[in-house]
Amino acid sequence: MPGKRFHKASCCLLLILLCGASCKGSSTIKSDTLYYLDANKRSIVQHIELKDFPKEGCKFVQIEVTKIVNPKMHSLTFEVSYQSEGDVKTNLGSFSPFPADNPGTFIVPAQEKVKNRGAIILSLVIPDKIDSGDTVQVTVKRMTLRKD
Amino acid sequence: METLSFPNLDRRVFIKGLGFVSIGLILGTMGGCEELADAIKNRPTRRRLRTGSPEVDADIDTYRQAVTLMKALPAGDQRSWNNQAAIHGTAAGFNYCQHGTNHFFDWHRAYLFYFEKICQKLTGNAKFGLPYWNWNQNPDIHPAFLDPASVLFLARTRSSMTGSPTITTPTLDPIFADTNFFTFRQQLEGTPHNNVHTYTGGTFGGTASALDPIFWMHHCMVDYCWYKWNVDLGNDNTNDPAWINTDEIQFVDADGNPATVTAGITTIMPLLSYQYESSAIGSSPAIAAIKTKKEYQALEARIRAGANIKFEVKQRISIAEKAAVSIARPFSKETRLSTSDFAGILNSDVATERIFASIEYAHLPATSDFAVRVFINLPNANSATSIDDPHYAGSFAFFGTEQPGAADQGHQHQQPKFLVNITDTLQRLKRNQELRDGSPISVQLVAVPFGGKFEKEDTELPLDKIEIIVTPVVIKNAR
Repeated sequence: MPGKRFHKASCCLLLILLCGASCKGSSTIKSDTLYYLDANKRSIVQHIELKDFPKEGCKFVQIEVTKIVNPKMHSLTFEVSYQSEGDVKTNLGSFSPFPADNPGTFIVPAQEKVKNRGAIILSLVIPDKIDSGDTVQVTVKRMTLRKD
Repeated sequence: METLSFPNLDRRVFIKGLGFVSIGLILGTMGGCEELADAIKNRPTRRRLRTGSPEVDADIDTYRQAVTLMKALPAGDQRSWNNQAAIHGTAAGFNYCQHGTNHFFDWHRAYLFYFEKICQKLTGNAKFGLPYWNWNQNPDIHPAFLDPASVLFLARTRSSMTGSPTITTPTLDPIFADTNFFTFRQQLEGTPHNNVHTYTGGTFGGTASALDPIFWMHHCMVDYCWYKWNVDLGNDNTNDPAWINTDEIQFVDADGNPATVTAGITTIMPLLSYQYESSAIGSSPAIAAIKTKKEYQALEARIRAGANIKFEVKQRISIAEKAAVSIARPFSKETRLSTSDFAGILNSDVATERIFASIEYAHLPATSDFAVRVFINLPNANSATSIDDPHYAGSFAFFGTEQPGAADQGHQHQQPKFLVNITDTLQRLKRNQELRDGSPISVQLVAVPFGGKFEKEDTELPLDKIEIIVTPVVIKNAR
């Protein structure tokens, strides 16, 4: 039954590929990783890997917001912090989309505080009162550390 | 293509440069160098929006009047309130405004510049300057914008920026510490600019934001941030020709005509057309107004480095060469040119090229107590001829005349050259049928003493040459 053999082989190949992807993912976060924020999940933590850190030092943290669902146009502010290995949190800066559903690429100054270890924390601040039926969903690409 | 440049803006040439740029920039609104020098010195002040200041109260009154008048203009008038706002955007989306691009600063500066001119024209108050809302020092919206019965009101979510971190000193200081034009722009736009829009909310938070009268005060503050970063804090704008030569479009001048300006020209607008009443932003303090010669020279040096003025000459016609001219005797020269030679420019409302008289002297006079007025086709023009005469084209003067021997002391010698835009005068004379197709164009130079009497009547102005040139205005940065 060639069809059945082909099906089995395909499943094995798929398992191998999935396993490979999974193993790779356990040690490295791909650059096309997307993060999702909403009214219930208001912050994300991205650990800094050595390979992400510019040799010349980090001058800016760049955040690419790829999609915003915000039909009621609530004002959105994103606060960006650096958390050192010792869990000391330092505010780096903040930004807002304008209009409040307009994606874009933003930067905040690293202020010579971001090191090659620790984490970047992105927090969504919605100063308005959010009703239970309101939707606020934000999609963000993996943040990058820029040397200039 | 030939390039005429003013690479060394000494005090005298500096004024020339400003005169030239202003003629290109503020077409027809100023007569010439005499008025221009005064106009630059007394240019409108943009004050910090606040309570308790009679000057600011007067500015708000003028602004209220301007908004009322703009709202009353017919829908077809491009200066009307809705049409002005629509240049930026409508509820359907942004139109011509630059957001998220490297032309965010310059596009909005030009937008404010022309809007301010419209306010001045409609109210008859040429001294009016748009007040700026310094949200860092005064987070609350000024009460004049909160009265629902006022034309300055539009519904907003909040009446204060208090509570937002984006306008605070800890947020702004690191942004202002950035010395890179592009990343400074990106931060200032993404952080305080965007957040003030959306945190305040209402129409102001969306793409039709320019319908809210507070929009212009907010963007005036954004412009002041750029000014402070560039002029007060000594950071340089980009010298990328691709940026400098970009045309910013879709503006409307005070008469309702389409207007375009290059990004490069916007960098010197605050030194020509308006000035800011200084105030602190974050830890950057208010800076005292320039009063001393030394301070002026320092600013001059920065302008020299940051905005080297050039323009491309497309056509050059010599009409006179070497002549000894006394200041007490008007000079007249008839040319072989006629309006037919410039029909493409003179018969078009949208021509981007301009016709200039270029007057070059062998050297400057020892005294400088006079200006030289330029007339077209008025052979009898003399020092009593009014600048309101339709034949008047413009004027230039000699500021800070060189001391004898200065050129030998390491100062770069420069051929004194002055430019007067004669396009409007030619168009006016043609329209009035005082200059017919085919009839020759003549140029007159008339020295006029500032104090009514020449200090030395026998002063000679050795003329090197006079040319008629055709050129679009271009600014290039030397660095």
